[in-house]
Amino acid sequence: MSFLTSKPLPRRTVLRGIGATVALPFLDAMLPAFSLRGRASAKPVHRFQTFYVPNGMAMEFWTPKGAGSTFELSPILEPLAPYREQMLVLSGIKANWNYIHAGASGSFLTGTTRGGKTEIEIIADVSIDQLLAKHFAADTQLPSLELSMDVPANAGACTGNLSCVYTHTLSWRSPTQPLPMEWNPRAVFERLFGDSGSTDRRAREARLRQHKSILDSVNEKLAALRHDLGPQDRTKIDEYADAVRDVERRVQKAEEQSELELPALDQPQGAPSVFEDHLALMLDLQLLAFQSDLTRVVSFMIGKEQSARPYPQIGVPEAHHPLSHHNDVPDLIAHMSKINRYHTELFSNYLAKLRATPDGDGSLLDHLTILYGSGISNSTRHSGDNLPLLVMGGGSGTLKGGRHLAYTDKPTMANLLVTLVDKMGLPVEKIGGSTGKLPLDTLSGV
Amino acid sequence: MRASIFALLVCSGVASLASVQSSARQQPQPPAVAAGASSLRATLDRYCVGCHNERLHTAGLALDSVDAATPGVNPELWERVVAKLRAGSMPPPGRPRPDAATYHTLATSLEQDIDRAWASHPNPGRTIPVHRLNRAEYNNAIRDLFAFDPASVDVTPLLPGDETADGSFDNFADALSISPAHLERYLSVARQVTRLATGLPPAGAGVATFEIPLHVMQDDRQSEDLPFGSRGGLAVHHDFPTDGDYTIKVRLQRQYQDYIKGMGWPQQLDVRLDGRLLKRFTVGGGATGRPAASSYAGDGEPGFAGDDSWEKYMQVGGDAGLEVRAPVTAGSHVVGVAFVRELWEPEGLPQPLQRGRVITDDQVYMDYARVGSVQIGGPYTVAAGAKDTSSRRAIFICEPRTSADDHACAERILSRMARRAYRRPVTDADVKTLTGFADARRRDGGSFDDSIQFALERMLVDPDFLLRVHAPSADAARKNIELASRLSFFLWSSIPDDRLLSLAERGQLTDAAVLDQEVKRMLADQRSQALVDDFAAQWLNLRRVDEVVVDPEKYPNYDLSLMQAMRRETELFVASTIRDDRSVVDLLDADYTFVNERLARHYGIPGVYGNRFRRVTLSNHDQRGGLLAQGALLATTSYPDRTSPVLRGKWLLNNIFGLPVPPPPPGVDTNLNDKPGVRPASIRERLAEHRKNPSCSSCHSTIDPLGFALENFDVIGGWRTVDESGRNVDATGTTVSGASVAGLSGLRAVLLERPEQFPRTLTEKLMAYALGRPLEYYDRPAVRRIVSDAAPNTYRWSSIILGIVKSPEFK
Repeated sequence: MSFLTSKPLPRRTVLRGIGATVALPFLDAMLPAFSLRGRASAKPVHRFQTFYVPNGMAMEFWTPKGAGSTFELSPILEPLAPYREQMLVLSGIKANWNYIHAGASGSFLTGTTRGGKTEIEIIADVSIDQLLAKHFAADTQLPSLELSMDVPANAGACTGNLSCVYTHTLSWRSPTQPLPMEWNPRAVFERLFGDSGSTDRRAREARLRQHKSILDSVNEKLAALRHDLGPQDRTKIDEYADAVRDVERRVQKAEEQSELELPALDQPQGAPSVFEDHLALMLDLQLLAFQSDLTRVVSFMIGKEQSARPYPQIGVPEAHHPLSHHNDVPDLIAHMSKINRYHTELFSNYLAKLRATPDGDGSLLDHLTILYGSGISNSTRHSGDNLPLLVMGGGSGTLKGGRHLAYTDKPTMANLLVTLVDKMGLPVEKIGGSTGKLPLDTLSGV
Repeated sequence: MRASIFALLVCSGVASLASVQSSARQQPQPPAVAAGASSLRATLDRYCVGCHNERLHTAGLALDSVDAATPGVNPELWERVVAKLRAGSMPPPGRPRPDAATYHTLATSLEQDIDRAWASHPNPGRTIPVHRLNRAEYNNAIRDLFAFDPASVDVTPLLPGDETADGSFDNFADALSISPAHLERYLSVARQVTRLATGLPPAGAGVATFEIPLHVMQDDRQSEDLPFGSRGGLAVHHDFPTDGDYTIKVRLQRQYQDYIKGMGWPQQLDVRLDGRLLKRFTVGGGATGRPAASSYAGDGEPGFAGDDSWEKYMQVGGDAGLEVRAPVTAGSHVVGVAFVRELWEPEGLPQPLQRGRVITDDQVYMDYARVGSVQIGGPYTVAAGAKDTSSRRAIFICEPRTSADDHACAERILSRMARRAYRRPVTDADVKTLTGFADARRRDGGSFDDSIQFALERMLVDPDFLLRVHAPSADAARKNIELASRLSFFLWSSIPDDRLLSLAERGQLTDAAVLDQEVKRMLADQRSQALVDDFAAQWLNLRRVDEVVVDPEKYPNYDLSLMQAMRRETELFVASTIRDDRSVVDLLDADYTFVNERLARHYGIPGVYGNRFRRVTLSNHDQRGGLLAQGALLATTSYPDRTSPVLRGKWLLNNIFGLPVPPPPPGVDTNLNDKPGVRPASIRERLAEHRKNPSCSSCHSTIDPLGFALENFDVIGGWRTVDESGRNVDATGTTVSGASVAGLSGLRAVLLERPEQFPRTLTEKLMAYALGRPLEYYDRPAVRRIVSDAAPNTYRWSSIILGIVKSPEFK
């Protein structure tokens, strides 16, 4: 097997974001913790996913008629009909930072009210997926996964003379540290399952056995070494021994849960060239990550903001971004809406799989909160008002779906983020430019 | 050091002091104070005890009550005094001070006293009991163990980064921890490395991706591994795990709208393996239909996008099918992907580098195509049969003919490898452990090669490999062994080779003549490049060059190829001084450097063509020559849009003058940015606060003048006579001792004035690197001795290195 020897992108363009991920280890998840399964489910697991669609929305085809629980599904939302009772449609929410395309993705999970002003000024705010990642870090092997369908291209200026970083990621570990999004299914697989080559149980078990024997033997050596050194000098040896113990613990846990049969998945070789194949692989990996509790936070962009992908397979051969500048011409809006509907169709296929995967006393979908939407509404004007947003899933009992909430007092995205994070069990005072919590449990908005 | 700022604040606020000072001012200035205890006491009383007394205890220093007759018994205190005297930063500006000669005489006399006391009882200082290999050392160790091609096998990205405190090195033992994350990574890397080394077929096909950063210029031949007449692209050394079929896939660079750049005209793209042409593609010029409006690239009103066929070609079709599949033998090979050089414009019309969004639209068509990334995938079919690679040859010194021979052969192989890996004679226990693992794997159904792989995997996670242990109760034999490791990690950042180890095993390494000879041999060996790649690269900020942020609007000259060239320049320059065993002072004063065409153009050196680096003699010593005029240093001590005399002055003091300065006091606003609506002030004006405010001036009077001296160098190290505010550059400054420093040559003169000053700084840095710990006050006499011993030899590298190796700290 060859090494993942890709030369990283210029570190300067992602500041220490990329640098940090190279310096810190990919958590070598050949020893998945499966930590939850050992415990009795006193509290159901609650997971969070972001599913971002770029370049705004044909709002005429998106906004449902009627509010409250008696709304009519619009053409774009129609493929989500089977999930109506686990769906909240939100209208009237404003983006916090509205600046061409950078503001859309840059403030979607951060609620930041401003970004940089030049190509090299890279600043936003901490994103909620990273807040949640820190919150769950003790429970899962991987704090979070950031995935996308586009090759990262973070250098240079992409929109309004601002850095391409803003449109290529949703996740920010700190106000100045954007996190790269992984697009290559092979790299994702390696992060989740290490180098065992497949999810096959026998391969995993064999690898665990080998680890155990190595660690046992190393322990003996350490004990002997410790004996040779004076008491003040033993600190590093003790550190080593602690590390061995820690890894042994994980091996043991993994062995206890090793009878879990995971869907067979061999290590992908790279990114398939057909969009649907690539997407299926990325979504399968996300589902696997949830199912094996390797992580509870996933941020996914089905296209980078300002994506120029064409969709000839559904009769839209025009590049998405240019098409999104329809100048409010009705025929062109209708044409673009086909892309929006295609996205929700693909999304509903993913929801079907989540619903079909058992988890505890329900399904993965029951224990998941998904934020679906875009940071732009009317695409031709890059409008930040009335963003197209959905909150899907059962939220482990914290969400009550089947309603269209139309807010009239122009709350911002940041308030929604505060509410979502609170429902995940992590109350925070403020996120980005938030002014409070957005009420999600009302009948029809405020 | 920090306390001195606090002290200053206390000092300036205490009114009662003013009377003491003014009475001192009324006395006539004494003549240069002669050396000697009585004159030391007299000087202290006159200039220092006003603040530094028992009552005020400024900076925790009470100089009225200390015994000035025998400084040697209290080196810790007196080294602090010496440091301040050498920097000239005490007494603070505004207070009466002795003349420059007195400073020097006093400091020297103190040093001599301390050194004399030290000579009778040299303090070897703290020895580090357990020291983990950092990732550079780990990488080099497996390179040497398994005879990998270093250009193609690099595991450093797979290991966790090593912490460094500011100004320290990443081989400082205290910072090198062992966390569970480390251990997991070691387990994983051990497996991958040993599978590669033993030539076991990988679990499946792998993909390695090599990317070219956006701002690397691809207008010329990129590497010595690509043919003349090529343009752009890259050449990578890649280790192919087994014989088999592999694919090489090329992706071209896109602009921000996802259009492939440079598709307006046909260009030829070559894919080569070890120089041999595998396939030549024609890219570009194949778009049909109406193009997008060139001023918008589809962003704006409908109709500005091109016809669908054109759009499809520009986004996907242009580099579809740029893939070659070929059989490759196991081992390291060079994969080269580059265009055939055809000029878009006639020569002699260099265009300025264009920036901003509008011109990126033009790059849709009217420019060179560029390689974005190269992916090497495989093996897709694995050829059966034994492979012959350098690492297999290094490992398998025997092959069992029958399975009865297995154990004996495994013993031979593993004991040999363990000796090198553990850097000492192997014990029976070592061999038993490793063969135990080999046997277990065999019983599990593995082949002989599998069994060796598993045993080697165990070996690479052993504490005896990952840690350097110094046992306090070492006997002579053990001392020799430890010395071998200390030497090899110092000079090679790697494990000892067979010869060094054998000498140590025979107990000969502690013999002075043998030691001398070995050090010289090791310096001549190409592995001593580690001194450049690890020591110099950290000391001189070279590892930060790639991360330098430059505002491309203010500096349109900036591109990544320039930055990479600057880094290479300093690497080659330092390497040349080591290789030629020159005086270390040449690092400051040399009249030559190494440039390629891009860098030469930047420096204004005529007549240099091509990407290859070559040595040039510099004609203008006032503008170029030595480290202080090299771009890498100048760029890493600047802000993205302006120079910073403070960053540069501070760096110089810490790393060249050896007179480190503390950080600013807490609560100080260090933001000097332009206020909106106000004409930008010159940097001198903005730093005027440093001179007005006494709590700033004590440090900044030493820092700023040095930085001003380099003001002729802009943010990316280019020579300039007009600064960012539009005024003429004023590169003069006055040091605390009243000397005037003018420009680069003035700065050099100040540094070379006392010939031992820079060698001392270099020795300090190199010694800290060699010992794996920061230096303390008790190491300073050793440093001074090493430098004075090296003086008759004009401070050559070898003299200094030998001095370090023979110091009590190192032994």
